[in-house]
Amino acid sequence: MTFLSTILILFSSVLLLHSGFSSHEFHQLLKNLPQNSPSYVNRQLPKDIQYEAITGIILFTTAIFLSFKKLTYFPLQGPRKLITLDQYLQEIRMNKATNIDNLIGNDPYGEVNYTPNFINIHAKRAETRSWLEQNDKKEI
Amino acid sequence: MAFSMWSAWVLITTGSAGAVAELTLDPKLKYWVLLPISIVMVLTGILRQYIMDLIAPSTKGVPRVKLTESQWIYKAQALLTNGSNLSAEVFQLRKEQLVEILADGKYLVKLNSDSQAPNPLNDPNLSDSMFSMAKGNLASFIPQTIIMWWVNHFFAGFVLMKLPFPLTPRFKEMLQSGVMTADLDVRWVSSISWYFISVLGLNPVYNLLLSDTEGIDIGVAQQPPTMGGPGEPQPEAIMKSLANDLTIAENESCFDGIEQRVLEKYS
Amino acid sequence: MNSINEVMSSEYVAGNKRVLLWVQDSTALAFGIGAGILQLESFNGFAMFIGGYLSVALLYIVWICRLQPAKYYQSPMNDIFVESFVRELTGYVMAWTFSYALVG
Repeated sequence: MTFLSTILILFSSVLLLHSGFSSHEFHQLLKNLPQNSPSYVNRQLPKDIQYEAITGIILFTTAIFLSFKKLTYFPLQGPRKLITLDQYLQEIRMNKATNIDNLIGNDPYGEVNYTPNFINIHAKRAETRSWLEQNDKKEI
Repeated sequence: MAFSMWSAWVLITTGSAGAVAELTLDPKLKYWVLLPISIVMVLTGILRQYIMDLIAPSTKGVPRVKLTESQWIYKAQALLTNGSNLSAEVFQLRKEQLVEILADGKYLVKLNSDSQAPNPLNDPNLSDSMFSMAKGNLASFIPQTIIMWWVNHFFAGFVLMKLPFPLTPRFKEMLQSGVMTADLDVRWVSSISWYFISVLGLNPVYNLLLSDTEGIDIGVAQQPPTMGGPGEPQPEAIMKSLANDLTIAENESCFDGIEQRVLEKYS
Repeated sequence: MNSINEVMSSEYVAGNKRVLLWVQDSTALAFGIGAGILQLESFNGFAMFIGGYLSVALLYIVWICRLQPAKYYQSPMNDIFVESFVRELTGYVMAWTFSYALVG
């Protein structure tokens, strides 16, 4: 829901309500006329009420469509800036649908892939130590 | 007969049967019959939705041994279908391990004692799902019956509204029940027809009012099918046949001669 | 490679359908209320429904789907035009009858 669409929905609802009430009053008046009077025979809703109701419907439809924003994504890595693919809906082909995960650096199978307990920490430490020793020697 | 056909035709084309009798209805009918019925129906629908959520069966867990069993079966099937993505030696290793495990039935669930076929009616899973289905049916059925009785009991015997579209005289019996006039136009209907129209047409309203609850249903539908229900082959037989399939499985790895193929493709 | 294009993300398929259903539901009800206010009768009312339904579907294809409904729906014609037709028609008739009776 964008701000504009909320305003438009409220406005079009007011328009519809008002035109409905006007139409109601018009028909109440019409019922009191004798059935053979000329204004009863070619009874028709006044043009302004018709226009008001139609405008209300069209504005409401526009507001419904305006309520969709283009999808934006906040990347987990890299520059902190919203990414948009210029789309309102998600693509359904699996090879396209996973593009978003790639773009924002999200790993949906992280609980399976992220396995720090498989790391041989002793080997890593030994490696680091030897690297440090070598580099220290070089500096000296 | 010919006349009724003609009148139906006139109804459809002009939307009014010659001179439609204009009735003047008490405006209080709208505010004390039409609105209450509508409000009650919408509220009942919402209440029903919440009750369904409350009595919905909680997601049941599958025993761990059962999961392990089916996961090994899936693993063998996956190796059979996607084995060409592995190099020959890796495939060989996996094949040997899987054949050994499956043929031994190492991870088969041990059925306790009685070896006779389980009675499907006593199976707790099945009766549970049947029970929840029955509950769902009841939850949608009872409120409808109650509201119909309520409308029929309190709001019967008068004309409530005029339909904006013509109907054939066949509907007269149903839509003008309780109104004792022989030749009133079918467009003037009693309150029970407003009940029917809203039963048919309230789905969009519920969707708009409860749209956030629909998203929850998706996860439930994606439960993996459980193995070994009545009528399905037993997991032991599946494992044995998979082991046989695996032993004779030929592996044609996609990595065989891949350098040559890539060079040919891009040269 | 045809098979790789047939793998769908079921989550997004359902999500897109929900968006479409929401648009169609709300517009069908609004059009029904409008038809009641305008006191349309019989054929005119149904014509207004058909017109509204089609124009909303076309607008949806142009605006939301960016003229590429096949990207977002498995069978675009069926999903957008056919699937919820009866549902929207009954909803429209209900709103139409309701406001017709209230106004008239």
